[in-house]
Amino acid sequence: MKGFIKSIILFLIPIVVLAISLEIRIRHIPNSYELKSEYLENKAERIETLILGSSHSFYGINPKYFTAPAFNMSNVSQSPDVDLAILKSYEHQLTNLKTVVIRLSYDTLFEQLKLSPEDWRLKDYKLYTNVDLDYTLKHNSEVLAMGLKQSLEVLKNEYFNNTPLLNCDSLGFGKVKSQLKTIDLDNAGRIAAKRHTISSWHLLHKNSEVFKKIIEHCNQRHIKVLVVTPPAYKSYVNNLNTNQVDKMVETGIYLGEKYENCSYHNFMTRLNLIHSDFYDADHLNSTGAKKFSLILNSLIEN
Amino acid sequence: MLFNSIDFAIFLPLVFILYWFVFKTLKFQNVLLICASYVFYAWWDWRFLSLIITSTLIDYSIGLAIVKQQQQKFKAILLGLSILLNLGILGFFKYYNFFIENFNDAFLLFGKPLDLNYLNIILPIGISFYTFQTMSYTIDVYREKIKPTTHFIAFASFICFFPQLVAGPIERASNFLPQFLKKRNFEIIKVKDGLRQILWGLFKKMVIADNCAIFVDAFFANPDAYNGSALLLGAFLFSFQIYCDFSGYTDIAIGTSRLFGFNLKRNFNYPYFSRNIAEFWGRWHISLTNWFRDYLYIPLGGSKGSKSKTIRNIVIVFIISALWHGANWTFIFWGIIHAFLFITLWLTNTNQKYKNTPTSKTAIPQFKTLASILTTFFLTTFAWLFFRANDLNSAFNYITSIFSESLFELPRLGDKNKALLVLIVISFLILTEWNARNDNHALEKLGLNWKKHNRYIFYYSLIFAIFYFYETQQQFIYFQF
Repeated sequence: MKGFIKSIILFLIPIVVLAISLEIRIRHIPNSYELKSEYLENKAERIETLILGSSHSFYGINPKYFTAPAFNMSNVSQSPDVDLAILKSYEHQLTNLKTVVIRLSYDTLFEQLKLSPEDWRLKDYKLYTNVDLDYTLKHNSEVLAMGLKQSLEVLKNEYFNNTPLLNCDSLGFGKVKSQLKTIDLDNAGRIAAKRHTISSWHLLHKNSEVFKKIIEHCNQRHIKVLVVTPPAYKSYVNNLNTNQVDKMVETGIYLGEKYENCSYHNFMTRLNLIHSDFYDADHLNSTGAKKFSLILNSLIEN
Repeated sequence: MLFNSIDFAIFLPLVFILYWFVFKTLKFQNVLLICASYVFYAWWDWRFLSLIITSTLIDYSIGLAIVKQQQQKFKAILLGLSILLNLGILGFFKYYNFFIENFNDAFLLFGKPLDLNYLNIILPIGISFYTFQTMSYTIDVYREKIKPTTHFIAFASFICFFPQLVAGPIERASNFLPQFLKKRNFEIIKVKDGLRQILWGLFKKMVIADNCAIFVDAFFANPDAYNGSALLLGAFLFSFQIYCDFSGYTDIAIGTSRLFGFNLKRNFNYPYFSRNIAEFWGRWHISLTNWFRDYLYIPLGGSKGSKSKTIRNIVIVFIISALWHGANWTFIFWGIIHAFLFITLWLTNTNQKYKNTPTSKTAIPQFKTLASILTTFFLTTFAWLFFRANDLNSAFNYITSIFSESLFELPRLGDKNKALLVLIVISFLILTEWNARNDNHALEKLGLNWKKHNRYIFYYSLIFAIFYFYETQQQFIYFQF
């Protein structure tokens, strides 16, 4: 039996060595989570406006255009429960925080990162931040969370495709190209709307409660909360499910009316942005983000 | 805990080492298996452990009580009590909302709204599997086919044995329970064979099934966005997805059991090489088919009565078997299609035609054999469309979308490279399994005569493919049943 165990170990050694090498290599690549965590650890007391949310705010709200010092702590696929965990985890560092801007997108109330196919992204919070979330074993490792294929793609993107893992500026704003190559925004809008239209509303209550907790948490610390629905291209908006949109708006209005420190602003169609302001049908590019950020800034100032 | 998770990759070696190196006596090994199995199950939701424990206690006590009774009448009452309790629990968790929905709809049809309330019920994983396993024990005790065990620890391990707890094979006490009562020895040949079977199961699940799922999910979510030829390909992909998903699970379950010195019954015997539907049902989910044959079809009278009674019995078995999969009209429709195909064979006296392995002596099948295999595959694929769809309307919509003008266009698949890759791995599956069609599993003999380094390269390639495609842990389809 011992001989068998020995031969199994020998058989597994090359696999383990390969996996560890890959893990070490990937962990040495700078990434946006690490940068953001370091910023919050070291410079959080400067921040007066904190931006939370998913890719819609990561690529759509640029802290550079805010008068007061601002920082974008949004990340791709970040759901409200993660937003709340971030606020709680860094509450002692964020001593000068006056405003939280948080997105309420079409799909926000119906999704949770840990229950989505993107749950592997939780490893970024576990490995590079101090955010306290519901992690599993695989979130302790890049390779275990992503799998071999995605891990190799990360290396390929970093070293050969000029698509670095660190895809945000020093204020946490997401860097994107001006627009996806050869994108047909009409078709992209239809596909994105379909992808974000949810068949089950079972997370609605839970996410609404999370929003309340975020606002109450801020209220106790005299922090204003701006709940914003970001702009989207007409092909996206026109293909959305009316009930789901209504629920989003209804929740935003309810939060704005219930809490004194909260206001809701729906910019989905309000800004008259044009084709060249969008990266794709539901994400702004830097031009669009500038316009949107300036408007948010004026809202905060007023 | 999922077989395709990191958690299981740590759990299994740990239990293996404790089992063979620390807990060396039979009793302690059985206790370890119970603890490990409960941890395995509780990883998903600990609250539902109480259902397994309840089922274990009911059937252990009733099994012992049946033999103590002298009168047949009281034995029958005890058996009825066991069935009532087991099916009561199963029925509540699995079918309550389905029947409420249909009662409400039926009353509404006659203009009398009933408005019975739905309950927010979570379906406990594996409930259909372990319930059937525990029921078969009590029925066999009642029929005096087996003697009830007085060893509670062995009985509890038999019910909750983690490799087959959540998706079978549904074992019979006559085969499986005695294995908990005698000393198991470490047999290196058995363990190595088990590891090869686990490897093949993981390959089928993570490389083939999960990659097919990417296309299948997209096609079924939005069939209008794809042309007919792509949807037809999607139907075939689902056939491979469900086979690789479920038989992959079974391979891992059987392989894992062999690591601990157990032999589980075979659950799949290359079903897509069947030459008619009757043969398919002798090769697909064999443990369930046999369960329904022994505990439903034969008690109903089997094929011993008149023609109409036999047809009635076949229809009942297929419908109940369909409902076993889930409370949805899509499953019932799937069952009806199979019942119709099976009855056609029975009426033409060809349901027993194929008992041997197809073309067992030559590598390439004859044209007639190949045509039968392909026809059976097309028929099962057609029926799977109903199995996969969310509701009957979606199934008919999918079928209508296939048979459109765009059926004769090139399939519009989205990611063509991925589609090509999927077709390559499916071809590899077919060739490997065809080559092994006389064996218990695809890697039972494959590579054993090769030089060691060639064999290792082959195993490393499979492992590489598994890790390469390991992205998100896709749950096994049959967990929901």
